[in-house]
Amino acid sequence: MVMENRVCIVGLGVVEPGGNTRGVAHKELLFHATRRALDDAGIERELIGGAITASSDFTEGRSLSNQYTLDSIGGVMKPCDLRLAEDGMHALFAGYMEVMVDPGLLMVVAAVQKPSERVGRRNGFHKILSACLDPIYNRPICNTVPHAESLEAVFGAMDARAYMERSRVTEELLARVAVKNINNAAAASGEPATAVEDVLASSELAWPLRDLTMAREKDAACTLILTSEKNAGKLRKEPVFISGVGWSTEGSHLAARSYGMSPDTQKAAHQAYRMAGIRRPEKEIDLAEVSDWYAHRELIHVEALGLCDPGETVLRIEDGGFDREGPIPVNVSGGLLGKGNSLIVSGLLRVAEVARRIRGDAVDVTSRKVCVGLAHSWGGFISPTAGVAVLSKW
Amino acid sequence: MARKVAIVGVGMQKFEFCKVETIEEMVFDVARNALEDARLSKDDIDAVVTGSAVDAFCGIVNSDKVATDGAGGFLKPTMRNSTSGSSAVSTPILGYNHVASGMYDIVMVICYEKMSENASAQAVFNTVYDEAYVRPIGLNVPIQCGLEARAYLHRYGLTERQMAKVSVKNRGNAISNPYAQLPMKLTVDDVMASPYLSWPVKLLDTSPVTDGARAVILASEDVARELTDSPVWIRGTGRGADSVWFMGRANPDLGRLDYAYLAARQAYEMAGIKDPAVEIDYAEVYDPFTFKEMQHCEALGLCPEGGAGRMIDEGVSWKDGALPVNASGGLQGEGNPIGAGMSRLNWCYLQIQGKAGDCQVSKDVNTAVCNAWGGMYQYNAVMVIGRD
Amino acid sequence: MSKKKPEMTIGGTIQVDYEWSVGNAGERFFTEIKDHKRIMGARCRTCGRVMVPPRIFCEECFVDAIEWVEVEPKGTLVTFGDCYFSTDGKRLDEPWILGIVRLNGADGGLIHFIKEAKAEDLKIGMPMEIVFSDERKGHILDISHFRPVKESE
Repeated sequence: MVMENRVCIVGLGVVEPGGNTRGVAHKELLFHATRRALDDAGIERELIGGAITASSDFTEGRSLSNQYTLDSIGGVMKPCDLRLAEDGMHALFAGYMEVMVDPGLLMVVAAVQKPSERVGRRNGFHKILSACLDPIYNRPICNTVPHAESLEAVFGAMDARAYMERSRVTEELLARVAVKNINNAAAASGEPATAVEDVLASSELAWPLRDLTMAREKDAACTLILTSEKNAGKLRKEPVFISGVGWSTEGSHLAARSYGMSPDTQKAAHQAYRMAGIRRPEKEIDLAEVSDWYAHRELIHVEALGLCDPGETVLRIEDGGFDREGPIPVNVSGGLLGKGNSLIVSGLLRVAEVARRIRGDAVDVTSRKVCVGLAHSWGGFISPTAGVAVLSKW
Repeated sequence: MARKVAIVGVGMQKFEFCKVETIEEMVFDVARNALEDARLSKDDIDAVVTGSAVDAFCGIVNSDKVATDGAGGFLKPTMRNSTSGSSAVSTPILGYNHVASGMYDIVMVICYEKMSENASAQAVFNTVYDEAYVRPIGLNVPIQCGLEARAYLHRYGLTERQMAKVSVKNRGNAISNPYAQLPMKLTVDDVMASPYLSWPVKLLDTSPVTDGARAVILASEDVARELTDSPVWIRGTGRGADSVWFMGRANPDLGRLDYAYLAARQAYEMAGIKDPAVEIDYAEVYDPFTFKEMQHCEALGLCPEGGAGRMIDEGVSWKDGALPVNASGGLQGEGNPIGAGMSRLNWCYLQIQGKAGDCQVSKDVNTAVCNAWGGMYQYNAVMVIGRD
Repeated sequence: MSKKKPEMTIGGTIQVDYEWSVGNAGERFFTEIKDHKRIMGARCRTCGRVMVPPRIFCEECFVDAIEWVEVEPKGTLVTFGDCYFSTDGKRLDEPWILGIVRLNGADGGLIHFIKEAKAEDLKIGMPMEIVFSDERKGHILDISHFRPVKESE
């Protein structure tokens, strides 16, 4: 693949997970994110050439959910395209391709989630999870497990067990991953630190998954503005380049999946690295934001992304290799465990986070200089689709 | 800059009210047919793009994921598009972007819908409407179309009999289509005598509930020239979208589809087409309701604005007319599995290739246009394809 | 392939419950209807259009500078539809009617039931008025329906 045109991020707007969203409609949340992104880029709506949102019908309770967000992304009477049931990062990929096709475009890519509108414990997420399953072989079983609410934890546990079996990662090490991310988020918001003991004492949902090693859903919205390098020169902000993108989906059938590993992430990373010309990711990438939906998934993903040799993971955690000051900081933002899982928005939030670090305008300016950063997203057990974006300063 | 993109194969299957096959089986069927048509194998496919409208129809959240294996997408890049009905054309446009951007050389585009398995398609459609302002009132599809059709006929002075002729034409055309669900030999009086759903829309002005899938394989120029001596190129793409607040938009008149005009303009500009009524040889126009074909013919410039009544009266859009529209039978005759309305594109391709069988029109077809419509009177997507 | 329904099927439902926020704009709008039977629109301070249903932002200018203005509970009929099917798909003997009414003083309007009139009495462009429900709780059904404005008025 020879790419003569380069795509970059020229504006970003975020409504962070965990803020107060009571009384704010999802259309309004997304408007705020988009308005911030336009202000960040220093442009107005007329200049928008096209807009893409990612959304998911059942997580929102609206069929054709993306039609509602069109107004909020400045998409009225524009060419618009919409992803359904994909991670927001797929909207970024679609936007990337649009700009490759037409370098003159200013593209808006965006997503919003408001899980707080779902009624019930853990926002009824287990009901959605079971509705994702094939209705013939899998769903009837999952609907009749004694405690359907723990469905997510049971899936997570199957995966975690498989991973721990092959990696020798212990429960305590998983707790350290959670502590790192929770404290990274706490550092930004000034909350008190959490200890490994706190994590191990949190309630066990399905061994080894605990309350604090499994991310909780949070409301959020995120909008990015993309354009070509040539176009970006006319705009206010220093562009952040998207030097590689890749995505991949694993198979349909639960029983035929690979547990404790992430071949979809591997494939996605392979494609993104090839585009970005990255041969030794562990040396070339300065910082990574990867999906830590569950503590053990961060480790699975870090390995699949080639940021750490699978044989060395235990050592790296013990040495603090993924800590804020380590050789490859992972989830400095706090990740999903620290900040909350905003499902469809999560992937885009990771991209926005890395872009901010590259620009140097992240909240905690003390962190080191980042030239090449990686953002990763993962769609969960039932929608095992991974996305990787490599961002760079030059 | 954009690379040239060709269609190198299509996958068809019969549209039916209720298919025995699961989504995965339906998708596999059309994917295999398309691979055979293009003389390719699954491993040649670089990426998969899927499209379907609303997950609540089939009752599977993220239903594209159960289609992944059947589409040959296992551990490949897959992406789903959904703009409701207009997914039928916005999905192949997304596929076009996959190739034109330089990211992939060969892309499988699959659209599917399984609508027969829910207890009430109407109840599903109600979940499409805004929860605070529209859903509690119980808006449904017949009335949604009645609102729009009434505004359209009022604005341009068109008649129910003209609408009825579209039904007669399309269901009659479907008799030649081996994949069609609802071929019928009708008269205008038959249509006029069918019961009203919402004035002016009658039962025979509508399209049926359908299960089905379609596939299209897209390829870059290099690959296409290796595979075939007569590639069919995607020459123009366009999309348009309007506000979800259909009762409070800048253009309040539901009779004029500003967003469809916008989509058509983009597609024609890209294709270098100045006078579509003359330069387009054949059209497959989105016709979930008879008046939608008429509105879309106008927005696509196949006749003057407000001229769709004369177009059907004068026989222009009939199979042997000067600009045949929906010789396949359209959604009315072939069936309307929402996303799989991509069939419109498949038929444009088949007509250009001269492979449309008994549906083949007698005139030469070098350039064809198709479109699709969806959302809360919101989206339109247009694609122009043709030979060198 | 067989045309009849498959012999073997598996039944099931997806029941997820939601409490959707009506948003900052909706809260004001529905509170005014509930407490004062007043219809409020949001005027965009940039382009001046008065949005009903109200939004906190104008989707054209894309700014959230709005001011609240009262609009008339009367307007003109943009279009209407009569329907012989209930929303769950059952055939009805008598049609029910929905209409879109553009409210005076607003650049938008509402979609609601039309009652106290038959379809043949209605014409696009005719004056209509809102009838409020006696019992109101901050919901779109606090409006009972639209009806044609009586001749004498």
